[in-house]
Amino acid sequence: MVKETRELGRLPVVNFAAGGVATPADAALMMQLGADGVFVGSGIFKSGDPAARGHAIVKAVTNYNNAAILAEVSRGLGEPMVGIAVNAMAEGERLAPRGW
Amino acid sequence: MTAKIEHALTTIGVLALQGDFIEHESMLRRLGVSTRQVRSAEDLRGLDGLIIPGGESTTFCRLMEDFNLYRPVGAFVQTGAPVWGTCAGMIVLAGNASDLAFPTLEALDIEVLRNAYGRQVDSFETDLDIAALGEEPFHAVFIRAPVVGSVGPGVEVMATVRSEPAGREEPVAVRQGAVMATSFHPELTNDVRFHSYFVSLVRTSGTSAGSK
Repeated sequence: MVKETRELGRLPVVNFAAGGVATPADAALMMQLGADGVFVGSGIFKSGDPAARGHAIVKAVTNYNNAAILAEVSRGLGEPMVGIAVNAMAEGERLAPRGW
Repeated sequence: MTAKIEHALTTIGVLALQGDFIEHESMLRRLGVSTRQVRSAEDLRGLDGLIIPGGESTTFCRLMEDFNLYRPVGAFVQTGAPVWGTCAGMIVLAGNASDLAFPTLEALDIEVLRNAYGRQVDSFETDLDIAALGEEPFHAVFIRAPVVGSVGPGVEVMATVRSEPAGREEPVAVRQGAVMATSFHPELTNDVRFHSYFVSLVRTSGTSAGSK
């Protein structure tokens, strides 16, 4: 497998990016960084208009190097998924101080 | 067409809206052919041939419509340059496709039945005898492949698979002039013979200026 990886110049498996992708630009960035594809779950379903955002992210992945298309599909998508700030979390919810 | 004479090398485009276009490109590169990912009408300019890869046919067609590619890709097929569709690409080229909410390019006189081999667990691999590729069998990968329900008189059947439920040999590789389609995925194997066959079609076709 090491030899095959060297020949291919990449791992001989498909590499998907996932986690925290909320905007078409996020998805395009993953592709620009070399991912083969992008999985998006809550980034779509916790947004204001999941159908529109889903379509837009698919288009962004297809045209990840086309800035004009990325700008166009990023418009008018409503509210994105909002992240959770650490400061807003109760002490017991925070993983670092909670320990195992 | 004479404007293409200055092209020293054959360039084959791979429709890169969705699906396994990268796998097709790497097969073509192994054969020393230059490739181009096609996402817009401009990307089709100057190409000597085009591959429409496998993927999910509804998504594929939706993106073709969203990016206004139906007309330019259809026009490219009309020029007579070789075009090859694999799996979902076969559906896109077919004359008619069952249960597809989008139009097809009607470039091949065949009728296809989408997902007719069944669900993902019914995907399979088998060895095919394909005369055009020589004596050695070709290992074919079928992934939720379409079934060719019927072929018109002008369509050459290059390979078939025995279907037990249907009790007949079903076409899995077909060609009509410069338009070719396979319901399986040669790009997912290490066998470059099918790609090599397509490249030779491109190099011998009237629109190609390939010099090698």
